[in-house]
Amino acid sequence: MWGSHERAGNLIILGFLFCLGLYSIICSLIMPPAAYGEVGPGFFPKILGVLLCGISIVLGIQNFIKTNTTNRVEISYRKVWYIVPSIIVLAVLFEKVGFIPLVALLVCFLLRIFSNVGYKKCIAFSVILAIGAYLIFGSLLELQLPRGEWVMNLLRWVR
Amino acid sequence: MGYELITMGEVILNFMEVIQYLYEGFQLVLTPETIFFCFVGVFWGTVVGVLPGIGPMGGLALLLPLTFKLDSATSIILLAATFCGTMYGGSTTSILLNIPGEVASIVTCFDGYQMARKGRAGPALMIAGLGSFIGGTLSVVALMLFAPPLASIMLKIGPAEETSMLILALLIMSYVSRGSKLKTMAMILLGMWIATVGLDPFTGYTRFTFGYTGFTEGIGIVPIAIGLFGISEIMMNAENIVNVKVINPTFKTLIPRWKDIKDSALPIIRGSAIGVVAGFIPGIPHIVSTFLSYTVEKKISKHPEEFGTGRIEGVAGPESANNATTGTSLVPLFVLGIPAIPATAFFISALLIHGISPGPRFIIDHADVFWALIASMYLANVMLLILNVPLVGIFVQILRIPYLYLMPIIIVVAICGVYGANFHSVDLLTMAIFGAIGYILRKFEFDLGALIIGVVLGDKIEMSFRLSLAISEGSLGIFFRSTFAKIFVVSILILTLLQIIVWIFGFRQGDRKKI
Repeated sequence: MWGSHERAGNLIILGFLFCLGLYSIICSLIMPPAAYGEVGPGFFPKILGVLLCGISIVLGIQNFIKTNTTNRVEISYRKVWYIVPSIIVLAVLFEKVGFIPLVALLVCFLLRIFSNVGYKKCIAFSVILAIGAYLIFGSLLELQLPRGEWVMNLLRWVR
Repeated sequence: MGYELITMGEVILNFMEVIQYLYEGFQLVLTPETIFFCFVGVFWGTVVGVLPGIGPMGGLALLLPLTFKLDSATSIILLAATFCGTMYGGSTTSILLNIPGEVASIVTCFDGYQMARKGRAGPALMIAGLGSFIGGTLSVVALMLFAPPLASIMLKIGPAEETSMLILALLIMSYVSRGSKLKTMAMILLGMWIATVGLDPFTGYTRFTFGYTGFTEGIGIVPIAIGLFGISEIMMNAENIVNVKVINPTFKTLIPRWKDIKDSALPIIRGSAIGVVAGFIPGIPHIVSTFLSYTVEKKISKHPEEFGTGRIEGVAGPESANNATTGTSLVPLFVLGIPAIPATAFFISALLIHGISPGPRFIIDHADVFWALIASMYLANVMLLILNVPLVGIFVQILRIPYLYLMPIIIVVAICGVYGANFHSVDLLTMAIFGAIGYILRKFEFDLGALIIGVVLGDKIEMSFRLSLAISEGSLGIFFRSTFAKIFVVSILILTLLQIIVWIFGFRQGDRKKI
C-alpha cells in the first residue's frame, strides 16, 4: 500500500493547479491582442489563471495551518494503478490490434491481477465478454469498433 | 422592467395551456420506442443506485454516448428516467446491506437496515418505493408549473445578467458544498480552464491544444466524465473488493401493515414538501433534503429515542425527500441553463450534442422536448413503483454478482462508450488520464461534481462575458446597468465577502477543522 500525508498530497495538487494557472497566464500574454471594444482570446484564460494561482496560494496557506500532519491518505493499493496504464496501452494499440483481442487481454489481465481466478476460467470469461461486447456495441448499436489493422493483415497473409 | 397583474382568467387559461402541452407530451412519450427507453433508463438507474460500485454520476456518464445515437427527446427522456431510477435505487442497498448506494441514501441506512434486521425489509422497501413515487410525482408537478413562467421572466435578461447569474450560481454551489468551499471553487476553476481548450469561439484562435489537432474542438465531455466518475470509482472500489451478504426479502413479506402506511403518510408528505423546495437550491439538494427530513421527523416524533432502531418514519420521510428533488432540481437547468446538481450537467451535454442550448428559450423553442420530458418523468415514477418493488429479488441477485466480475464489465462498457462517441482512440487516453486525476482528487476530498460543472459551464460563461463586453464596447459598467445585474453582482460581492470573513474568523479561532 502506498501512502501520503494529507498535507503533502494537498500541496502536490495545489502546486499543479498553481503551475496550470501560471501557464495559463503566460500563454494568454502571447495570444493575439483584443480588437477595439472587444476582448481577445487570452482575456478569459488570463482571469482563470490569476484565480487559479490565487486560490492555490490561499489553499496552500490554509493547508499548512490547518491540516493535521499525522493524517495519512492511502493513495493506492498498488494493483489499482494497473488499471490506468492498461487502458493507456489499450488506447495506443486499439486501432492496430483491434477491439476483441485487446479487450480480452485487458479483462484477463485485470482478473488475474485482482483475483486468484484460474487461467481457464479467466480466459473463458475474457473472451466471452469481449465477443459479447463486440456483438452488442458493434453489431446491435452499430458502433464502428476497430477490427485491427495488424489482425486483418495477418488474416490476409494466412489466407 | 414593469410587471402586469395576472387575472384569475389568465391563470385558468395558463393552466389549460399546461394541460394541453402535457397531453401533447404524453402523445410523444406513449410510443413503444420511447416507453422502451424510459424503461431502460429506470432499470439502469435502479441498477446503478443499487450497486455500491458505481454511483449515479458514473451511471449517467456511461449512458451519455448512447444518447448521441438517439434523437434529442428520447435522449433526454433516457437520462431523466435514469436520474429518477438512481434516486430510488440507493434505498435498496441502504435497507438490505447498510451500504448507501449514493450519499443521499445514508439517512435511509439508520432505520431501514434496522428494520431489515428485524425481518421487516419488505415493508421498508415498499414504503421507500411509495414515498419515492409520491415525492417524485409532486416534484414533476412543481417543475411543470414553475419552469415555464420562470423561463418567460428570464427571457428578459441579457448576456451581462447571464454572466453574473452564472457566477453567482457557481459561488452558491461552492458555498453549500459538503467539503472545503475553496477546494470546490478550485475545481470549478479547473473545469472552466479545461473548457477553454480548443478554438476560441470569437476569433478562431486555438488555445492550449499542445499542437494536437484532435483538441481543436475542445476536450470531449464524454471521456472526461467517464474517466472522472467511472474509472476513478472503479479504482476506489478495487482497493477493497468484498463480497456482500444480502438479506433477501420474499414477495410475501413486502406488503406493509396498515399501521406502517398510517405512520408513513405524514412523513411522506412532509418529506416531499422539503424535497420539492430544496430542489430549487443549487448544490446538493438531494443530500440536504434527506438529512433535513430525517431531523424534522425525529424532532416532531413522540418517540425520538426510537429513531435509529427501525422506525418507518425514518425511511418514509428521507426517501420521499430524496426523490422530491428530481423534478425541481431541473428547474434551474431549464430556466437558467444552470445545472443545479452535478448529475444534471449530463443533461446539458446531451442537449448540446443535439444542437439544443438549455436556458430560458429552451422551453419555448423546444416545447416538444420539454413536455415529453415532463411526461416521461411521470411515466418513470409510475414505472419505478410498478416494476421496482416486485423486482427487488432481481436487484438482490445483481448485488450477488462479485465486484471482481463487475469491474471489467464496467471498464469494457466505458471503453465502448468513449470510443463510440468520436471514434478517436485518443479519447481512451483522455479517459484513462482523467480516471487517474479523479482518483487522486477523490482521495484528497476535491469535489469532482464541481469540476464537471465547471467544464460544462465554462464555455457559456466566457461567451456571455465577452458578449457583454462587446455590447458595452469594453466597459464593465454593463454589469451594473439593469436591476437584475445589480442584484446578482451585489449578491456575488456579499457571498465573497462572507467567505473571506468566515475564512479569517476561522483562523483567528484557531479552528482545527477543515473549512
